[in-house]
Amino acid sequence: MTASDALLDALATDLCAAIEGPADAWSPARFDHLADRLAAFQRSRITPWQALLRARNIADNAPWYAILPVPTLAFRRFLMWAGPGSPSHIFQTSGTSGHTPGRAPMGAHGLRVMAASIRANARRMLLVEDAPATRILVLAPPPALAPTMIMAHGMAQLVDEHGLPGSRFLVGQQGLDRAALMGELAAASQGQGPPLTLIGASFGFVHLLDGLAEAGVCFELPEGSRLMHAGGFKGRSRTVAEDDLLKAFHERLGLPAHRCVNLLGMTELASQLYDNVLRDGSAEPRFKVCPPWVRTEVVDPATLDPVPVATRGLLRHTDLANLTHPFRIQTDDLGERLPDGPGGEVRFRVHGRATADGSRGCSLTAEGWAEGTGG
Amino acid sequence: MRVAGSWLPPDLRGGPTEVVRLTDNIELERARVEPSRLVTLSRTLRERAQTLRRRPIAELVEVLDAAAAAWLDPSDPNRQRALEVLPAITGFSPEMVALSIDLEMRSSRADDLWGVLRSELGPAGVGALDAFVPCPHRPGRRIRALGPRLTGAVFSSNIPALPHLSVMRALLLKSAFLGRSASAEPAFLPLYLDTLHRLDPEVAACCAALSWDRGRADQDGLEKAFLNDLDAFVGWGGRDAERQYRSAVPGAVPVVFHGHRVGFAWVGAGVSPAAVSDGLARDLCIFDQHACLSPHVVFVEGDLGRAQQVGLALARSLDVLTAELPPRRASMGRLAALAQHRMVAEMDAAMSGGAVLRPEDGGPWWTVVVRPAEGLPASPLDRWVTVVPLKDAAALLGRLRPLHGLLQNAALAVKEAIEADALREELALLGVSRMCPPGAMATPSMVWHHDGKACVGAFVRWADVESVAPGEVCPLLDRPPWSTRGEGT
Repeated sequence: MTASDALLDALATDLCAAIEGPADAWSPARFDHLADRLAAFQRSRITPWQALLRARNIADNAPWYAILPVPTLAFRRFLMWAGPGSPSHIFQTSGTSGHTPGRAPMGAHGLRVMAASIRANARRMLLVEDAPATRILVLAPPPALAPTMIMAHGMAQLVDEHGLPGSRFLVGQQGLDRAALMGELAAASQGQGPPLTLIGASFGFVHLLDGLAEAGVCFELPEGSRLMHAGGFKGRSRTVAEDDLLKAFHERLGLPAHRCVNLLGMTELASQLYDNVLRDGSAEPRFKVCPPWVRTEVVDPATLDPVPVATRGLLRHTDLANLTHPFRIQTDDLGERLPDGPGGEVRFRVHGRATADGSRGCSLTAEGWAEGTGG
Repeated sequence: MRVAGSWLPPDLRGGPTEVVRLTDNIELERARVEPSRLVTLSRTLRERAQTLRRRPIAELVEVLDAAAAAWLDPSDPNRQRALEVLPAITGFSPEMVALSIDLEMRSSRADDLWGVLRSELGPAGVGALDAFVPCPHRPGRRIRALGPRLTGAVFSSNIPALPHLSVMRALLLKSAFLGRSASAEPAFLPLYLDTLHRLDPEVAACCAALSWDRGRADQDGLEKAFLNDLDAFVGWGGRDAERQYRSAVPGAVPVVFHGHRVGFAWVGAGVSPAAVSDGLARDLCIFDQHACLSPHVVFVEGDLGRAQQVGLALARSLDVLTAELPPRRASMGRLAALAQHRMVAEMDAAMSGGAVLRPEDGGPWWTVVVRPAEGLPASPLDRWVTVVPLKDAAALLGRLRPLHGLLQNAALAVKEAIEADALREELALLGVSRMCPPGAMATPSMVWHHDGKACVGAFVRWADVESVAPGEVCPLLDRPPWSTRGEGT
């Protein structure tokens, strides 16, 4: 094992232990310590980032928060990889036509830390029971069909680790298996089988709800059921307001608003940012929660300096689960910070994409599938 | 603030109106358009082209000249209104809107209008707009130039005070005009038509400007009604819009579409950076680079060091000019995009030995990237330029070749006149439609062949009378052709 491998191994082990350990063991000092180690490891190995930091005269030993983040656009221009060797996986943003997709490279160590993050976060925010309690149905393609889609990868982990028997992906090569989905929804509504966890891209759910409305069908999923949709409400064919979607989930699936969670996920981030409502058992107020290993700031779009709480600006994430690709990311998503929660929990809201150039990420891809199957 | 979003001749204003919110503090009041109303309006305007046909071309030129003069008068109420509302609607600074109006209207005077007619119709063709006139190229031949009865136009919002250009081009051919303003800038065209109405109600009665929102349930019907009765179509917009309109406009209707094009500058060897930097800064700042004429790239003959000298001089000039001519008020989205691009450019530049020059306060007001780069690196706009070193003019031509069809405007700073002529010839072959010195990129004359086309001439239909000279015989009949008149029919 080279010195670099040993360093990476130790960092991965420490990060996994911290992420999967108790939340209250996190302190600002612990976050700073791990972030500074990560910064020291990454910045010297990711050439474009290092070039940017040197051009801006940011000292090699600057603390993590003084290090300029990497813009999401850079993931389209460069392979942002800290090594060692070559990445075993390259996840890609769905991109828009004519644009190179963004690429998030990962190797075994990075996948290990990402898995820890997915697991720990899901347990806190979505699949909160000690043992698997629901059948997980995924309205998205499995990794075998979408090997570069980070959402498929994460959802597969939820199915494997948290799903009761019968949990599975319902999108195959022919598109969404509507008959299977309808069968599952009907059976669950009639008390046959366990509660369901439905997960998928927001747009997949929009098409499902359209189909149910057209057919005049309503289900009443049993207590304990829940839903998680990832991505935005904005898409190519329709814009769906969050309130309307939540109302439709209640009407068509019998799921109250506090059992319906939106998830902000990005190909560039190993961690996901969930709504608080299921954890808190209340539909109001609704906001995104950073797990202890993620910090989200809001910055002024002109100066890129942090703005006060309740001021709109661009979201900037620091995700310690990004082991081998940049852990400081400047997005073009609009949002605002809320006052911190107990224990310094970072909370924020998302207000869509600042550059609003059509739908983004997984939503677009999901819509493509829906179109392919007649929606 | 409430702003007019449509203009109809007074006798056609009876229909319903609507008020829609354009920005946080601007409401738009406009005629509510339905497909049936649009059909009636198109047909009425088309009929009214007859009144324009009866007007001598000199009178129409006089009216258009008077309109431009009015807009150049600081006390003109429509100009004042435009200066009040266009900055709020478009984000362009008041200084930029004022400059834009001045530039556009200065090139819309009688000399320019006569110039474009003579250039595109030929000296004899101008008179042919009024009646059959002798053709100077052949004895006994007479010609008549006829314009479309109704010209329709759809506009983009990138340049303030530009839509009147299409109105002028239509009226120069005695065509009635029906325009659909850009949803992002629906205010200018109604103001301009109001000026025409004040000066000559009969001419203005042949014109109308409308706007309606995309995504209306009856969008298809509206589009069809808008396009169906046109004799000529002018479009301004991006690729998607061009594709859409080219397929939607009925096949027999001639189309001129002003789509996406780019400009660039070339600084040849031996040209001092200080000699070109003020001009290039002006080219970048006017319209904040949103014109198809604006430069995206400055190619510099020489090495990276020389490109850096040009970049530094340009940065200094941009600093000065930005104080005089403030930039657009950028939305959060624009600022976010610029921030993303700037950081990526810094990465690129740092890895290639180049640099990113920006204002001292780090703000997004302008950006000069100096680095070796492939092709013609497109700018995210808003005063953002890449300065690229190139070995020589042959290297320039080599990298422009794949962009044939997209190239619009070239600012050339070259020391040797012979060299410049050779370069101009090559650039013309590559589709560059305008060449000028640095500093003149944003100020074309109206006589310029916009997009390389005769935009007035393209819509002229000619009618010729070909008489036979006394004594001339028809080769097949061996006798004067008129002697056959009436025989055998």
